[in-house]
Amino acid sequence: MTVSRAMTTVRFPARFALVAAANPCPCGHLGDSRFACRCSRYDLHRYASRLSGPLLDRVDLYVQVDRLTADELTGAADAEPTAQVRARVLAARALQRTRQGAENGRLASADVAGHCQVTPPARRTLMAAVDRLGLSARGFHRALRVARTVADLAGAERVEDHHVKEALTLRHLPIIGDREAQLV
Amino acid sequence: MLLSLAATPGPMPAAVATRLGEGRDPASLLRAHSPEPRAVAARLDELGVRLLAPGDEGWPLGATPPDPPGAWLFVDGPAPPGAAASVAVVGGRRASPLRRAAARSIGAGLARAGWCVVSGGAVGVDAAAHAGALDAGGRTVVVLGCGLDVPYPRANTGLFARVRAAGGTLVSEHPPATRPRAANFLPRNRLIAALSAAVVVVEAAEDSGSLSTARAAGSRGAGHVLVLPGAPWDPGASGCNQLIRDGATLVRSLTEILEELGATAGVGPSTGSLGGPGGGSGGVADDGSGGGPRTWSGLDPPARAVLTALIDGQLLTPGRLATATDLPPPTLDAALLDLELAGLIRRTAAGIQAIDLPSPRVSTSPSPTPAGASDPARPPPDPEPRGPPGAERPAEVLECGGSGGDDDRDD
Repeated sequence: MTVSRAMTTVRFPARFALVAAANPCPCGHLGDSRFACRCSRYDLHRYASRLSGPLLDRVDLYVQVDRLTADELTGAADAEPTAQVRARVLAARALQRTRQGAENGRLASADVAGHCQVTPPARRTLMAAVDRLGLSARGFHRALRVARTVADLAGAERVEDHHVKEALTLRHLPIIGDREAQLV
Repeated sequence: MLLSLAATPGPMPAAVATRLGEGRDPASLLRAHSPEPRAVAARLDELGVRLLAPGDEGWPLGATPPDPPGAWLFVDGPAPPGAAASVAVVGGRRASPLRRAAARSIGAGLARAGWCVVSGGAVGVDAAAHAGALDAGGRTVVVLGCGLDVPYPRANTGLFARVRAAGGTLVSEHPPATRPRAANFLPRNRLIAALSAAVVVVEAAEDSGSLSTARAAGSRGAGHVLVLPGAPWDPGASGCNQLIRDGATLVRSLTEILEELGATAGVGPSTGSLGGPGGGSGGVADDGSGGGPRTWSGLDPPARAVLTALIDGQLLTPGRLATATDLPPPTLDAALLDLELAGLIRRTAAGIQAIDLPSPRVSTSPSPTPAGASDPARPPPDPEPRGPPGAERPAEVLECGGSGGDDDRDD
């Protein structure tokens, strides 16, 4: 990790994947199908403001999880076994190393555009996301990387429009504590 | 005398008006703390507010007296045009985004047809109706339940300034400095009804204020209450559906609203009394979100399935949407992004929510199209007057919230 400021440039050795979890609101029930959220607008606002925007912008994948059903809880529901997922992930990583000598996550920013070639419709989708969803410059490049990974997992050579859409949906954070959400 | 009485803090104006209507001498209704008429006049001058009373030029309640009657109105701006040229749009503060979008679209459509939009000053449907009308270049009347100098709700002070700047009017029965007490709003609603040819109910929860406005308008007879229906399990529609059961007129689109107004209000507003309706093709479809498919047929089947699942305005998490639509995750993700780029849905921490619906058909005819008929040869528009003579006809059919059920129209 390299931090450059006016006077100095400092290099910190750091290589990690951040995995974090958060509740949608202080009481934990915002969006819950079973229990009503009892947070006030002020509660929601205060809760949301604890996480800085620039920090959230660096998170690539957001997954909103629902309350589990009894079947899901006891593992009776169908799900892809972890071993199978692991095999797909390893295959994708091998593909990335063969193509560019590194995994997508380790690509230097300057190389992202070169290795993450997208089709024209996919590019239009990215531009539209910048225009209409307020995707930041950082978000744009990170979404491109994730889209490349989505395509790699699917074994696709080119990054197609639906890969980009999946990547954008994954990185798009549900706004924690959105006040409008409680109006219904 | 009346100045002094109207500015007396305390008694409900509606109660005082009732006494006056019974022939009581205004002097006998003054209180020890009633202000000097000269002081009142000075304060009103300072605020740029006038007091209108029955018999005054511009008194807007002559043809449609409310019950209890109105004895005076504090007015900031030109005199309201009254029932001959105005339509009320009402609904709650907590209406769903779809119903607020519908209010905006209806406000815009009424304004384009030359109607003055009347509503309260609350956030939610009231604000959306005013904003829609103003965006379309129209004029609106805000009926407040507090003094005209009391900035309530604070969130709408900018909107009130826009209303005034566009030649609209702020109206209240209450003297300046009156605080917005809950008890003021029920009597206020009778004024909204009396100042309008008809009341369009966009949203009404059970026991809501919108119901009282609708009932006040309904007491004038059939055709004065136009209601957007909703699903039985939609809490924002329970009052709407009750009104329809009680005999109000069900409307599903701007076209139907304008048709009903043509039937009820006869010729509609006269051109001279209103600022000319502005151009623009505002409404549901152009609140600046731009781009993307804005018709049902322009959406691909997965996007249509998602929007159909969200059509009641409720919030669904991605997981529950996946169950409801039975779409595999990558397809669902792509559909969500398409809908988001089209400005039709929004993600929140509580789930995904529809904020707008596409027009079910691309139509340039103001006449309703029978479902399923996508029709090159339409009969010519019905000549029945729906707005002021000479006013531009609405350019498109703007469907309001709840215009679903088109998912069978695959192509």
